[in-house]
Amino acid sequence: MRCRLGHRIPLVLLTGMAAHGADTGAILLAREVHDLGWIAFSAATPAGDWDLFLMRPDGAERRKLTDTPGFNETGVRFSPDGEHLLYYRQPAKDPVDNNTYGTHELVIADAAGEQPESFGNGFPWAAWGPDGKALAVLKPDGIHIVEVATRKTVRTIPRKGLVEQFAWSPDGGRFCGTANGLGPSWTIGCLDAASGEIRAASETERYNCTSDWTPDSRHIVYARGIIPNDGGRAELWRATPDGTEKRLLYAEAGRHIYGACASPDGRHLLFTRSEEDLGRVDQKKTTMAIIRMRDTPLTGSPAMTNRLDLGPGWEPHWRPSK
Amino acid sequence: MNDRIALIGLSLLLAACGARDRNDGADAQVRSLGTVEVTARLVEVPEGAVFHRDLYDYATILKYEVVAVHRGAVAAGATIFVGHYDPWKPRAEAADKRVQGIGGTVRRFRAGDLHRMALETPMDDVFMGGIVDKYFGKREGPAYWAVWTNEAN
Repeated sequence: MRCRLGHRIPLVLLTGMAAHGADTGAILLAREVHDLGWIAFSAATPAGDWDLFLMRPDGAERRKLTDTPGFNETGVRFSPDGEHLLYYRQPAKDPVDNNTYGTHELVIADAAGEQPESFGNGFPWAAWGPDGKALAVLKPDGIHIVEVATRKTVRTIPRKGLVEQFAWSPDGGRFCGTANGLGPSWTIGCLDAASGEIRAASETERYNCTSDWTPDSRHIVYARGIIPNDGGRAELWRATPDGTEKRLLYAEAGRHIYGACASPDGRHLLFTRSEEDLGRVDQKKTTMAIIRMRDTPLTGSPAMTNRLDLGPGWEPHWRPSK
Repeated sequence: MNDRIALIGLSLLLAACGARDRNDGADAQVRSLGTVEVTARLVEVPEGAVFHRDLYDYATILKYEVVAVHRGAVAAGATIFVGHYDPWKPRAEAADKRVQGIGGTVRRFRAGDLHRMALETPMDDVFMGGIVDKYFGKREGPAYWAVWTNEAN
């Protein structure tokens, strides 16, 4: 289906637009991002398992990257050059969980999902290195820098409390992830690869999670979590690696915001909206959306015009256009 | 005479009851798992240290005073900090796919209770997940990881 702006708009988006009248804001945003590469993400299939999907950032040209009824595939990440992707695979009977997906079987494939190679279960929370030839893997005994070609550890760095949802900065100088030991709650920690020093990038009184780097390595985007028993929702925030500057990017009543990923040019933000605090991921209550960085801070609402809703999906990642 | 016999009988009965109620918490698991085994008193349960949220699997740090040392290099009378996984669950139900091999007879954590525990240290080598540490900034040294936690009295 093509709209008059000449772009292929997914049915789910048009359905949402119809509900809100002529939502030209979302149409313009869809047009703006259509050619900005591709998005990969996990979504449940009619068979009940989770596969990986690929689509344009406006939701067009959606297709499967994996088709494995016996497995759930999660945590997809494109290599920096966009030529490969890594993801995790787990038995379909095991529920998909926002806090444990990176502990399963690591698979690396080409960017089309072809030629998948299993690395097995010994590579938890793998993150691409800047050149795509190495991975950083988060193990109990430290961060292992693993050469992809040989699968051998070439260097180990103390992890200083980092425990999950791990990312290596595009400039190679730092790591970020969910960390213990920086406050009474789990926190977004930023570890300097050279000095080994770790600092809290986020507040330390909340349960923060799902951090990632902006393309210029100058900021971390993350889910500023709740304080249990105090209510509230997880919000999308941005911080400097040393935690000295923090600001809201996006929040929405009735939704927890997780898994932020900046577009390769840093001008847009892709994220997961969840009705439930995650935890286990429920496809029926988990969708994806894109906003412009320049529009932030934003407070979401069902009728807002400067958010592009992409329908069901979880933990998306954005590949540069090639 | 009859009164004296009754008194002796009552004393024996009470002693027997007392013996039956005394529980040193020892079992095969607590005596063999981990590298440290202590009987310790739970000093307190700080507000917010234990919360029930099915979507989060976490560990919480609790403060103990060591009453007796059965194995390992811990001083009797020492204060130690112990991490318990998913502390809102009875210990017998706490193990899951992510954290295996833990257990015990403790059903809930109450200040003042005596626990016989098999411990591992440092906790960071054993558990990779979220930790609630209400003693952050107030304690030194690594926390212990509770492998097996039995009630004692």
